[in-house]
Amino acid sequence: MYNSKVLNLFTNPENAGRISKPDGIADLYNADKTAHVEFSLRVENGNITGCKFRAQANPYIIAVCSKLTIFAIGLPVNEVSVTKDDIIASLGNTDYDFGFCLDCLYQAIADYREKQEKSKK
Amino acid sequence: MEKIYLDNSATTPLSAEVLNAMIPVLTGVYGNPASIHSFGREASSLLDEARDTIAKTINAHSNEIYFTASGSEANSWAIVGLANANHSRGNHIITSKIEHPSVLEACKYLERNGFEVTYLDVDSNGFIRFADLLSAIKPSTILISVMFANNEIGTIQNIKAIAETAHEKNIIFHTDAVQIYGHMDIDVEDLGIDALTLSAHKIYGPKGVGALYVSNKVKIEPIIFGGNQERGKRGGTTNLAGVVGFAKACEIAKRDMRTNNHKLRLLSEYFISKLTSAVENITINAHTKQKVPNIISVNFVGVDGESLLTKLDMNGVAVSTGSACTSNSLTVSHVITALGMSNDDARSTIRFSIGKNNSYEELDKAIAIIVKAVEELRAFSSTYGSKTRKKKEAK
Repeated sequence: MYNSKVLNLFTNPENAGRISKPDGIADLYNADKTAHVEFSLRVENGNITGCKFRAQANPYIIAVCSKLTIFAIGLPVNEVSVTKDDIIASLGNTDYDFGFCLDCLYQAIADYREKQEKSKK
Repeated sequence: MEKIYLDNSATTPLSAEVLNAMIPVLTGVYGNPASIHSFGREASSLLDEARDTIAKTINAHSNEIYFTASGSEANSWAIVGLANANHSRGNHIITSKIEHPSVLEACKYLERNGFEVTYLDVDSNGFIRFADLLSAIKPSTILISVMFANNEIGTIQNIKAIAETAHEKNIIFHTDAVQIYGHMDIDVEDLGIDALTLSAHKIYGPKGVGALYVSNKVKIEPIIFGGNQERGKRGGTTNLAGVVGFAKACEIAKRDMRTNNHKLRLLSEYFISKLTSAVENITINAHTKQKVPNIISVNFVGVDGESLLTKLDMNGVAVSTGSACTSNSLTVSHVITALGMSNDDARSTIRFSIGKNNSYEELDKAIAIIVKAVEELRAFSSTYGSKTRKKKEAK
């Protein structure tokens, strides 16, 4: 049912967990509330230096979340532009709608920006 | 890696006794039962014998048993065939929300073709409420179909009372008995059942064979045309070896019912007791005494059922997230949500179904694997902490 890339990341997910005192955080259900994910970020000097995920979701979604953290770490926070196609190219195609995982990552980034704005005031 | 099969409600392994009964037919009896020559007559004789054997196990007449290619076919045929044959009396059907998809989809098909269907709610243990049933009945109601035992949670409905209610209003009553057969004596006369579905592969028989009992008192129209087989009601050359195997499986199920039930009950009690001690924050769904002994539906808080199933499978333990017919889909189990659970709680459910070949040792090994898998998934679950906190606060 799942390809080896998905199963490998599902079995040994990279960056699983939650960053303590994160600079940005968000959690999100998918549309029919059958999966829930959370991303937490550490941002230093404008770069994402830490990104972790937690999930109650199927193996593909878990693999997607893990892959998103791998993509995000090291990127300038204002230049994160991961797409669904990047995920499909990396993990193979699927019937599962995983768009909410990307939305959640961008919401965590938005949370970081919001906190930054508040701290400026 | 040792493999442990705990998905016996999806299907069961073929019994050696059944295989031995099928081999002479597979290798030596190739006549078409519909042919009038000696080869055909030999096959036809075995077919009659099998029909008679199965009929006796439910106290039916031989000519009330119709062979099909599956339980799903028998269910679909019962719904569509009984509705069409009795359309002149009305167009309303009553069923429950926790039926097998082969009943529900057949009902939806009828809705697209001028029939009206009421889908009864169930309580948190999966029982239909009689008040709901009574208020759903209309002058136009022609058929009630409620499954005997549910395939995901095991709940056994009060079939005799439902049949009596139906007959008081001159309504035909069908029940899907696929999961109950072999667990309790079924007497269609005593229970007042007009039509009943059976399947061979759930009772250690071959796949690809089912049967529909239809009382001689009710009319049914065919849904498969083009042959005079099954007394003109179901076209298609009969799977003779399968039918012979089915009859043998029925014989064995009847013969060993008490022993098997006793063993399954002990194994299930052991499994539930060990699992609930070993894993915290789990709930046994529909934990009622009125259920088949081998189906155990468990909600693991904060864990996705499909992820748990995958981890267990990678470690040799075969289970299911719902019925085999829906476990490939993206939706949550319609049975579990009908119990009143939310979508994300329903996604945390695993069905364990124990079989007569399982052992205590296997269950111990399976539990150790489950404990590890649940721990691993909860370690990065985004909902586990908040859900357990909410439960504690509620207390």
